[in-house]
Amino acid sequence: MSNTSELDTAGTGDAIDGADLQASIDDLIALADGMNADMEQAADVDEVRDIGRAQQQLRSTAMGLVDRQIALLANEAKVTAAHIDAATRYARDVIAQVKQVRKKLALLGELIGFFSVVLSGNGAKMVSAAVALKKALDAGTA
Amino acid sequence: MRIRVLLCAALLVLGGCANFKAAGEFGRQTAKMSAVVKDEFSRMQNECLAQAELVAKTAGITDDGPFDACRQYAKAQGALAAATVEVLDNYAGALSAVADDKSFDLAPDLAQLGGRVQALTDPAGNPLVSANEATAFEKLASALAEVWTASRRADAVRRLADQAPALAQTGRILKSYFVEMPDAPRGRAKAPYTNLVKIAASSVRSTESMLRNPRFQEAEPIRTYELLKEVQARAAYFRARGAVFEGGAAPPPAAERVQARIADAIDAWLDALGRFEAEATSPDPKALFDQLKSMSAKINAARAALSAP
Repeated sequence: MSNTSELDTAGTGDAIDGADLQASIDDLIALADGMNADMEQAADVDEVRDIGRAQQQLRSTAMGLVDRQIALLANEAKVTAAHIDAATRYARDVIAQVKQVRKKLALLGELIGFFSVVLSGNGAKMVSAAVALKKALDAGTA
Repeated sequence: MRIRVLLCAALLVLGGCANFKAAGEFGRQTAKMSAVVKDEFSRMQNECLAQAELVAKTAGITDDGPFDACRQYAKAQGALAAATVEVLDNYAGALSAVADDKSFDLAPDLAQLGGRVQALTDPAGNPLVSANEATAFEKLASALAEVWTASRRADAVRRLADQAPALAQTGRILKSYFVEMPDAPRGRAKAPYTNLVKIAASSVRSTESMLRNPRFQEAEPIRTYELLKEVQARAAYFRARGAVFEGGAAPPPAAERVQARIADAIDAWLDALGRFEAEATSPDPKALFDQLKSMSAKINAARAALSAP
């Protein structure tokens, strides 16, 4: 995502529509599905359950975007649905390359944390969260 | 009674008697369509909750997370769809009663329906219906309450037929729930049902994977076997609605899926509604009868799709 200074400023009434976040919803579901093979092969019941919980959080996050309209805080960065979708797609592509289950779970946790900031509607915080997410994703593949 | 029948027969020759059979049949078909939709809502909610319970148990989740999706959905979109079905049910009941010269009790809180629908919001607090749509509900509720003041049955049928534009709006609201309708309000532009099926099916796939894990099976072999059977039955339900499951049969073609069949039935009903508005009190509504036959076939196809394994 761009730096805050490169984004427009949100005005009163600006919002991100859930209807425009379908790509993110689909990517979150795909990320959950992407853990199924790990789940079948997990070495112990605890790991199975950890994966199950992470998948549930991804699906709950997806469900939280359906029908949602995220009101943007005025005078903060105007983050768009396209920005959010791009961040989610980046996360999906990176996590697909990670082999270790625990690393994957950690990165999925970062993504879920990013979305809780998205729901706040605070553009500046969303940008910071996106930068932190990218940093974590890039470090996670090292 | 006999004098009235003879008079009516005479008027039929002169083209003056309303044909209540068509009105009664339209009322009955409307009730059939509404029943199909209600059954699907009920089943979807039950499957959603049962799957949530399974996820909570198998993944050891103690908070309400798995249930939130079902509840969030039921609170907003589910409530709107339920209100739409309620108005259709009352319309169908009133029309059949007038046509068959019987009594019918309207739902006691029908008058408040418009206000209830207007108060429904999405998770962010935005209304689920437009102002026009809320007005359509209010008009229908008023018309249903007042239909009994008509002095003749034909007038009562006419009054109900005149509600066709408002009724059509509620029909389109119902359809937008199942299939994408770009001119629906923002929160419904992508059919809510589609995302609910996708998310719930993903949950079913995860549970299947979990139950196939050898460590899981070793820990509780009998229980795991039973739960796998339950999950596979649930997978069949979602497959009929377009979900894909590894190793299983392919879902039906898009036009044969449950939501498409329901949308077809609603479209056939909307077409018949237009014809009903035009021919409701006609003595020989042949075109309406033909349309009612076609509508009945579509409703039966939707019912068959719902019941398929």
